[in-house]
Amino acid sequence: MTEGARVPAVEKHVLIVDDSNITRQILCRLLRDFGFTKVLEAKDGHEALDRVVASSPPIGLILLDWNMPRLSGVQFLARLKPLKAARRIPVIMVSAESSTQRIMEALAAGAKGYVIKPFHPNELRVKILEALRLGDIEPPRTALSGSLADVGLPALVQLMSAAALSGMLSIAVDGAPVGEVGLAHGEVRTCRCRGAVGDEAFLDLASLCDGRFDFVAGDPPAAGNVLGSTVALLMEAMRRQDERLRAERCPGPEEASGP
Amino acid sequence: MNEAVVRALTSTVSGIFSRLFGEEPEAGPPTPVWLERFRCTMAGVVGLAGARSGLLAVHADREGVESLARRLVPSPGDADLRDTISELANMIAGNLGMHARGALPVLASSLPSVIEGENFYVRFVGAVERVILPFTFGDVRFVVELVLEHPGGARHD
Repeated sequence: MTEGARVPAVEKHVLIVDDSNITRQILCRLLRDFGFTKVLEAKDGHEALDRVVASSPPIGLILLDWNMPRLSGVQFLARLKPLKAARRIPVIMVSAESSTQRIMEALAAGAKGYVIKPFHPNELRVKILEALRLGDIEPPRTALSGSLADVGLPALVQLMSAAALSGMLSIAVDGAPVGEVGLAHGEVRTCRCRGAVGDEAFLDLASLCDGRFDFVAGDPPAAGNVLGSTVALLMEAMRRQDERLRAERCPGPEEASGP
Repeated sequence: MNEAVVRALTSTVSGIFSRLFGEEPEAGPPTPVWLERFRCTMAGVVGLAGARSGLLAVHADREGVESLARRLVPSPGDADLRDTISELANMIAGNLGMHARGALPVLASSLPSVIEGENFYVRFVGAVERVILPFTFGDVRFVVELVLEHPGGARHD
């Protein structure tokens, strides 16, 4: 058992990182309502890193904004990773950025949870409980769902590749399953789409502009049916996507002026 | 401006106010031109980038911003007023994509800035689409402005 697990959750030091004083005050008030008594604040990523290094006892949870001057939330996560003392600190991103692509980016960078501003206090409480449990017991099992209208399959697979994720990505259109992509440490290993399998199945799935995706992290698929490298598949998928966009584009300039 | 985007902007603003303050503002009719009789002394501005660049701004007078800030913190100072208007702009910009779904491609937003004073003029150097959405929230009148580079992207000087 880790030292963190012996400390009751509300005894942990929580660090709020946000450039907005009002947001820090709101979060501070909520954390105290939740029972946390040791709350620290930082105005940007640099100040937060200093706090993490200097804090004794160590920080037990970080609530992190995305858009901040000097060092953004995601840049902070990248600097936090190599710090041995900070490896087990769960970080929850609390940001107004709401696109699936941004959420994926934050999770890939190491955030254990994501809360979109403005949030309901209960939503934050649940995420904090989840993050503290995950931090103490086991590495998180990533599960992610979203709409392909927000983030296309090529961008999604690119982010999963960057995060070296393994597991199964399922695609459904109008509630009906149309295919799935098996990932092994960020590499596309298997693909199936409406009866087809392999590389062409992946390119068919990559052409979908609408539908739902669900990713569940797990063991890498044992056997593969995709022959091309993931980079080559993504480049071909993006090339086809560009072709479609060029065909759809219909320019028509218009003017406007301000007050 | 695309009707779906205007609807998404209205519902984004309503949703944010409802979560932050527990009440929704009353939306007025959208217009592409500035409101002649609207007095604005503070504006929170966020730059947008991505498939379409542009800006999103929240305009109000200082008293209105103070009234909103007082709902968030007991005795707001000058910095809290700037924080309030810039955070509102930041949240609207950040949440807009989620409400607009397919109508608006993924947008990235800049750090918010605040403009104080009433004698300023904004000139867009590219071809743009613009919508001005007036709102009333109790005794506070505010305006949300969305400017997007025209899908054709033509530039004129």
